[in-house]
Amino acid sequence: MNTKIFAVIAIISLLVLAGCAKVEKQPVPVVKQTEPSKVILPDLSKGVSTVDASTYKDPQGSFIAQLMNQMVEKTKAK
Amino acid sequence: MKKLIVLLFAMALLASLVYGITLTADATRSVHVPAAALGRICFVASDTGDCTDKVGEILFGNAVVESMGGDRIGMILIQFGGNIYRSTTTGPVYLYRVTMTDGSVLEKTDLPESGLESYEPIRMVGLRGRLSQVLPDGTEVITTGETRTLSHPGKISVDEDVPVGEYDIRYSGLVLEDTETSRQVMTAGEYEDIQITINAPGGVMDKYKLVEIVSTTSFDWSPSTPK
Repeated sequence: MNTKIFAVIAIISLLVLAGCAKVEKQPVPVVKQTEPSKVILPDLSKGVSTVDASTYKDPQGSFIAQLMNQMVEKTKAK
Repeated sequence: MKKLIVLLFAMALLASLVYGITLTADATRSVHVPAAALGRICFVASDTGDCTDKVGEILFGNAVVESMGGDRIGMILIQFGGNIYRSTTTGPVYLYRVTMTDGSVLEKTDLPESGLESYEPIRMVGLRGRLSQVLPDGTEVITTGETRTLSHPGKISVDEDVPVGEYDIRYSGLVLEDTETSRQVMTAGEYEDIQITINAPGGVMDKYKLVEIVSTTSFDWSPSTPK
């Protein structure tokens, strides 16, 4: 039993040492492309408005669209 | 060993209960929006940090979603520039009293990377985290498809996926229902500021900041209630 505990502690210690060896000063995030993305950048000429939630086929996306529409209607009504 | 396995299983089960809320109309009993704000936001010049002449409307709000099972979880929704974003992670921002090694005492929300002697939290001043973009077909884009390496002196560098967006909202009088979990259910607070970073492939990091808040409101909504 003591041997197993010792082995576990030794492995953890090695992992911690390996992690410490990776430390390097790199204040600016390094970005590399791995796959294409569908990101659509904001267009500030477009104002806040309700959306046609029926086009949001994904159930979670549809829920978010409906909630967003509620927020638009309530804040614009004030 | 058996006890360890049972403990890990219990932790996994608890985690699934805490984070397993489904964000759909069918699975939601009610939604409480303690604060939503309509305002104006500007595109920030990367060299000066000041607003450019690109200004547009923004709507953002905290929503507390209660599932049919009674679980409650907080979520931030943002719309600007024709896009809808929702928070995928949320963490509190604290104002710290920082004592430097030279004896000076500062109040900061971000801890300095060097010269730090000690620090203590004064109060919670905001929430920040990652955003996903909700596309017009309802699917979500979580990351830009890129990775970045975050590192600080003295800490292990970490590779992470670049999120589509990041937000930092500041409040006065912010109160969360439970700061021990990641539910981030807001019970009180007034908006003071919001800053958003939109990331895109190629290392694009566009920053936006609040110009003014035009109006705020709060309301309750049940998804089954006809509009």
